[in-house]
Amino acid sequence: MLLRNFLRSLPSFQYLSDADVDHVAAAMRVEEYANHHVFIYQDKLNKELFLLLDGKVKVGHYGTGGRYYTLKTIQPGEFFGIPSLSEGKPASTTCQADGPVTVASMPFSAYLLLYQPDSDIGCRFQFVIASQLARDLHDRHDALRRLLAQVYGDGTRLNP
Amino acid sequence: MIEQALFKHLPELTDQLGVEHIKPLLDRITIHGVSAGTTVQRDQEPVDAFHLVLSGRLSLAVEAGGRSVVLGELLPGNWCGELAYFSGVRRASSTVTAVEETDVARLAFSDFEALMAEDSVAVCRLTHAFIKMMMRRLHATANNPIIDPNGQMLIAGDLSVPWDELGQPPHGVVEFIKSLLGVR
Repeated sequence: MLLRNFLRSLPSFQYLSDADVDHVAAAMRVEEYANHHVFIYQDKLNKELFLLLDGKVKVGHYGTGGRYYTLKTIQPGEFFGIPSLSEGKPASTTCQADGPVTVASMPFSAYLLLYQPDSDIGCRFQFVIASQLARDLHDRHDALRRLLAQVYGDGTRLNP
Repeated sequence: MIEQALFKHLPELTDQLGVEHIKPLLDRITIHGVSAGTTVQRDQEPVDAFHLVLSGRLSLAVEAGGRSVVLGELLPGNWCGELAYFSGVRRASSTVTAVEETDVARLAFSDFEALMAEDSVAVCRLTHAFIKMMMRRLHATANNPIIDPNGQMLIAGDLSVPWDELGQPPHGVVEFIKSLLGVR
C-alpha cells in the first residue's frame, strides 16, 4: 500500500487536505526493520517521528531501581517518538520492534516545517499529533486501571 | 465575582492566543465556581467540554472499582477534557475534583469545533497548549505509581505546565535554524 493511502486512512488525518497528505508522505521514508530493533532509547535524544505501518513496537520504561516494564504495544497506524522530538529532551521511554516491522520515519527538520505555528498545514498537523498523544495517555490510564486491579484483586472491576 | 478570575488571567490568555483571537474564545466560554471536593468530571463517564483552571486547583485521579491512582494537580492555565476530545472517545479519562475553591472556564467541544471554523489560529494555539500539557502528563505518568503512607497510590511528578510555557513558540527562519541546531 502506498504511504499516502495509508495516511489518508488514519482518522487523525481527517482534517488534512490531499495536498497536506502528499506533503507528509513526501517527508517520510519507509523501511523494514528486524525484530528487537530499537528506534528510541530511554534517556537519549530522539530526532525522528515514527509511524508504525506493519507489526508491533513495544514501549517500555526503566523505572526507579532500574526495573523495566512495558507501557504499551504500538499498533499499525500509531505515531511514536513525539515528546522527545517536540521538546528536544531525552526520551522517557524505549521503543523496540516486537518482531519484524515496517516503519515510516520523518526527520526532525521536516517535522519542524510541518509543525509551523499558525500555518494551515501546521494547525491540521497539530491535530494529528494531539490525537496520538491523547491515545497514548488514554492507553496509559487504562494500564493504570489494570494495575489497580492487580494490586487490589477481584474487588476492582474494570469498565469495558 | 468569579469573572474576576478570568479578568485576572486575561493577560496570560491574550499572550497565548493573541489579541485578535481572544474574543472568539471569550464569546464561547462560561465561567463556573467549583467548591472544594466537588467533582467536575467522573472517570469513564461521558464528557462534552474542556475546562480551563482560572484559579484554585483540580486533582486528577484514575479510578477502577472504588480505588484510585492520584495523577496530580492542575493549576491555573491548564485544561482538562482534551483526552476525551482528541482521542475521540468522548469519555473522561480521569476523575477531576476541586482541591479548593476553584474557578474554571468551560468550553464545549461543539463550541471548540465552531471556533475551528471561525478562527482556526485560535484553535491552533489552543491545540498547541493541549499538546504541551499531554506531553507533560505522559512524562509524569511513565513511572509506575508509588503508595504513600496513607496507602494511597499516586504518581510522583508534576502534572501542570506553567501558563507562560503554553504559548506557541516564535516562528521564523532564525527560530527554525535555532531549533535545528538545538539552540533554545
